[in-house]
Amino acid sequence: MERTRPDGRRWTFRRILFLGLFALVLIVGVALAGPLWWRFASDGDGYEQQGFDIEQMVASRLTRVRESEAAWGFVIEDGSVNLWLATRLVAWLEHDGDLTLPEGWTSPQVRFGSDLIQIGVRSPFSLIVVIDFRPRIRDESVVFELVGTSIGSVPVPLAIGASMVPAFGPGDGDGGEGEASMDRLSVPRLIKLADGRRVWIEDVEVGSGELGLRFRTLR
Amino acid sequence: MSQRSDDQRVVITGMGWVTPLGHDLDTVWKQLMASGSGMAPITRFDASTFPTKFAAEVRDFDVNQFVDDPSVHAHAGPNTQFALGAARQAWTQAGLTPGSFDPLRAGMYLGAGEGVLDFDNYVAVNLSGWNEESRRVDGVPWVKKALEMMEAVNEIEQEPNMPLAHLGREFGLRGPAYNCLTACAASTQAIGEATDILRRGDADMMLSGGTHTMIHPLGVTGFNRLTALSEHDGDPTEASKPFDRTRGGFVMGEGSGMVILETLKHAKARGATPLVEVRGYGSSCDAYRITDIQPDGRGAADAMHQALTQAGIDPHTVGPDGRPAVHYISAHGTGTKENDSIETRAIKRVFGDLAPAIPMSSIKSMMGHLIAAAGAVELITSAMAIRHGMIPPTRNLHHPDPDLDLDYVPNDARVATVDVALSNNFGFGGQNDTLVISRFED
Repeated sequence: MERTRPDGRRWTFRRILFLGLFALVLIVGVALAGPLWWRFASDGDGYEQQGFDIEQMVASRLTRVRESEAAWGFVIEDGSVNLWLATRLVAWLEHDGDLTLPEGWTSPQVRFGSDLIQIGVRSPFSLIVVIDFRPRIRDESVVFELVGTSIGSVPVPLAIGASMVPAFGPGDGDGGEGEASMDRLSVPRLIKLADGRRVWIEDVEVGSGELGLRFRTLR
Repeated sequence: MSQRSDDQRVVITGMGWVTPLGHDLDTVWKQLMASGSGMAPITRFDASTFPTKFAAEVRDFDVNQFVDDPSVHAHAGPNTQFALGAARQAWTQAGLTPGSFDPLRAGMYLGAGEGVLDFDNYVAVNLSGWNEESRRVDGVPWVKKALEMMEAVNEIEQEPNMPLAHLGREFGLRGPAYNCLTACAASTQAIGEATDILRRGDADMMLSGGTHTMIHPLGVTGFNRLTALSEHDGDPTEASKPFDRTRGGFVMGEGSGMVILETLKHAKARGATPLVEVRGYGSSCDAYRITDIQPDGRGAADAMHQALTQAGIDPHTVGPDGRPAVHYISAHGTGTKENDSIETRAIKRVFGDLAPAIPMSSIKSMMGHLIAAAGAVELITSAMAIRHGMIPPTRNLHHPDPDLDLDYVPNDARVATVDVALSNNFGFGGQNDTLVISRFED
């Protein structure tokens, strides 16, 4: 009995189609899975307490009464920030009525790279949208320049990535508590403490896996 | 000196307490000065399988030594008995006698906790009605057993207002009568509210304070479940470690603190000696989670601000001697990670750069947490600090927490001139109450 075989052109077309579909599935899969570093874990032995301890460490250093205006600082690892984000962020947002996560956006996590801060957030479409920032001190502000966006691990053009995130949009230009535009976010360098004291952000330095911050507490 | 008129100024003329460290002012004060401890294994029930097996119990207390007719108080629960003991001491120190006050102008405002459940009988009744198949209590056998076993008088003695009833009868107080049960801040709130009743002219004198015991299976289990109690495995006297890096929760205490509050006008008229003056009172709600304190201490700071404002004290100023305007803070200082961190932050929020210059301590490290009675006992401690020129220590503070950077008076009492003291108490539900008292000057 004679077996039928696809001719060469049809076979090649099928292979291309198969590879194309495979690539599409792979891209969708990678996009859905999120980047390798994005792991949101809020439940675990002692997680809540560890998140609280991190919060205490940062808050107590910011509010510490200091003898002089000499610079001081601390280094925090992205793992610690992520633990705090997973266990304490919701509580903080709850007690500060001015801040909320945009509706449907949940589970932010960060990764610190060389001169780069990556923030991955689960979007309302269950995709992890990642925004890459480069922090810069500029005059009275700390500016976070938008340098890259991706969906999961798949890079997408800046304009597309930024347009997906509600935090970005035309700035109001008043230079007040903070500002966001299509290509950057900025926050004032001056932090006002509740007792009237002020803390000045001296420097922000991002290295592999850690963020270094330096301050001066003004008298 | 206060700018208020004598009928607006409120003074304390008598104080008393029943605590795990003793049943009279001097004994307890000496224990506090010696950094003593009232903590030991629980004896009230078999706690050997509980996560927390120790507490600070009131020991060797006999209410009959403090009341005129013991038969009147024969069914009084332990919280009422403690209240009677503390109130009798305050009454005696204030020099009150029948006929020296108008009963209708003499009231009470307590922060008294609920009484103790008749636990054994209650469990026996429940077991008799338990239907294993339906996993529910069957009302028919339950009520049959309940009517057999449950005593009406024991049921009514569990009501939080029963200490009021017994005190009113014992001392002939027929004026305004209130009780608030705002968790661990209850008796601070009671004394603050009693002060306001006097200032608005609704009474001439008030018996105020708190009383409570939660050293029973339900109380210990509840706080264990809330992960608020220390589960220290070792010497119970080392379990309560406020402000220490290794702190792991509070130790349950019990007892009562009572004060006699009077308008200065009334105290003068009957020749009483003012011990200290109540200058300010503040109360606030975190408006946050019921089991968590607001993270930045805003609610606690609000209560302190209110009390200082009412007292006419600017927390950012220093006196002629270069010291802050407040010379001692009796901290709520439970010894939980959360409370001690956030209270520290709240105090900095109020006093700013001056916060490290104010000594503060937690006597819960020595006598445990008296829950609703804690505020009154700690206010009395503050008054004793003013009168004796000594500040009680925070016991078991051997490992400073790098994140807690104020002066917690570790381990040893300190000689200090205290003219103004502030006492904080906070409770589950985000309740915050603060009192400010000062040395009395006419």
